Amino acid sequence: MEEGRGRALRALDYMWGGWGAASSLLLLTALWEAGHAAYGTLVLPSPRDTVASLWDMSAAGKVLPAILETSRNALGGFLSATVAGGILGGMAGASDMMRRLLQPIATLLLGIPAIAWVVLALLWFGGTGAAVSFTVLITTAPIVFAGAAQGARTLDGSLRRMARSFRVPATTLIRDVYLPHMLSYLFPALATGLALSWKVTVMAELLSGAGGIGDGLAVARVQVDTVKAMAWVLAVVGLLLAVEYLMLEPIRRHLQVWRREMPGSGDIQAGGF
Amino acid sequence: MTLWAYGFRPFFLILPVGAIAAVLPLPVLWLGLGGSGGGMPAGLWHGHEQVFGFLSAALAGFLLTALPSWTNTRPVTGTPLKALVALWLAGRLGFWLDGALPSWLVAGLDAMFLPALLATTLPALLGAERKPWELPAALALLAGANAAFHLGRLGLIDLPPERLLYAGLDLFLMMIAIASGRILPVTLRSALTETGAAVMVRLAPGRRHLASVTLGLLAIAELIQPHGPVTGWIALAAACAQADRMTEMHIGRSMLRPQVLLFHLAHAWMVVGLGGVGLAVLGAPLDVTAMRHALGLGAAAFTVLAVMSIVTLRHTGRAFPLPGATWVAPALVGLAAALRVGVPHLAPQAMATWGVTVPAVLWAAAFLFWGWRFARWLTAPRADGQPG
Repeated sequence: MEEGRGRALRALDYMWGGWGAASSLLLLTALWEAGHAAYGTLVLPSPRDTVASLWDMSAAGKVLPAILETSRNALGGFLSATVAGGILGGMAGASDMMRRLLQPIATLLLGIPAIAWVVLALLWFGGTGAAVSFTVLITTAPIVFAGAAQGARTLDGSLRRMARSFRVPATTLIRDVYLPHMLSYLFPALATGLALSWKVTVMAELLSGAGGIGDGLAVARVQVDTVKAMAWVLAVVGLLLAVEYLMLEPIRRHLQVWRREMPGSGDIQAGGF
Repeated sequence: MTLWAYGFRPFFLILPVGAIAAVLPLPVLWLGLGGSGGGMPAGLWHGHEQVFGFLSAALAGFLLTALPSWTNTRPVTGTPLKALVALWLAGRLGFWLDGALPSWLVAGLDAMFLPALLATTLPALLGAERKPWELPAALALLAGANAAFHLGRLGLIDLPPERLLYAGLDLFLMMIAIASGRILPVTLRSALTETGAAVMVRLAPGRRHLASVTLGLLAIAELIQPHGPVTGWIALAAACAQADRMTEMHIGRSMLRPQVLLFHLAHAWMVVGLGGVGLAVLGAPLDVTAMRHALGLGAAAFTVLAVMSIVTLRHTGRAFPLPGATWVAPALVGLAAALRVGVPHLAPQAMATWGVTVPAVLWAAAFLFWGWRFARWLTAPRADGQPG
């Protein structure tokens, strides 16, 4: 009961924190509006026109399918990258030989521009969702790999030995020692990879015509319709913000409980009037 | 004499007079009982008297009391204090005689007070070890805004005077946002102590700075383009930044103590007013003047009453808890603000009675009550026998 209340209060506290973010974004909107006033609609449509255009496109049933398509492409590639990068990274962290074998390849893959992968994927898979997902997989897997390798390599051997001498069950060892440690390395890599996967997806879609938000952007570009283009950008940004603040940030907070200050510290003594 | 022993005493004592005087002509005009006395339009007159009359007196009382205690310097007392009060009264007199006196004379009478206030606070500031420069800087801007108001009215600069009222009110809100950083630790701490909770106050300076900066930006935007969309977005950003700060006052049951809840409600008014101004400017069907009243009549007056009550008690040697009477004036002003903001939207045909006259009466009642209840402490020596 008490714990549930504390959790509800923390959730409320987190949501209230959204006001600060909203303030920052609204200031950016003010800057956008000023840019519109200075350069006109063709260069930068006004925020309100953009929202109206997004609204119209949504009413016409164009936006939601595109968002779903993009999400499917992005998440498909990202999940494959997580599995592949996680397993290979874990191996590289655990075994020195695997690290010598895989590290240079990961470095090489990281160095190839995403746009080059789009071109190759288009040649290999044609203009389909598979080409998009493949591009996402190949660009994000090295990032996940690096995080997983680092996490596995820095696992504390003495902790494992201590757990063994105290006869800690293997499941407990994995849940309470290995997993939290791995996650503290893996999670930032996953968050970066996820954020990157949306951007790569939209880019690949734009070039491949495989549908989704990128395709919408391509059409807007052909029609020289800046308002529609901005509306699609707004859709991507909305998607990114939703993923960041509704999914990643709560997980991040949950994982980083140990980083939070202990109660009793940080009391402010200054003040008086 | 006790009255001139500390800055808050005379200013808080005459402040109710200024507050009531600033609304007196409105019911008369709206009910059609009399015409404007000539001079400037009634709305402009009322706005100026509220912002540069009423709020300025509150600011003077606060600064003359708070700055010496922050900087550990000697307060302004005696003759200089009397001179300041006289300058403030001269400005009010000028505005009451506006129309009868030439505009340049009204300007001259009114424009002296804020620079004089700045000049009297500067020596203490310069001599201090830790300089709380933000408030005097804002005061300088405010003095400039008032001067520009008169120059605009005299036609010497090409700036509509009402914009200086908007910017002036924004500057006041900004000062409130800045000063809250000093006030809240004290009030939160005392509220937690009173309810027996663990006394721990954590305020993020970043929140305060964001809240102040957005209000400063709004002042600039309203000066340049009060009804442009950029201003609207900045107002919305400022509203969110104030809402963000309210989380610092979410301290469980202790939040219900007057020294916390009054500030919380004031912040809520600020959010409503800034959000309303922003939405109205961006084209929502809202009355922008009503929304400015949520800021002036709601946020600013609420804060002024809370701060005046706390300062009066603390600096006359009376500690927390605040007496129950503290609630009366804010309650009346809150009701007045709700009517002034709500009636234009819900029942515009009843504006003269319910939107102007009744709020004006409630406003006057609030300040009469406050004056009656607190005057005894403002004029009597400190309860603990210390000087000041």
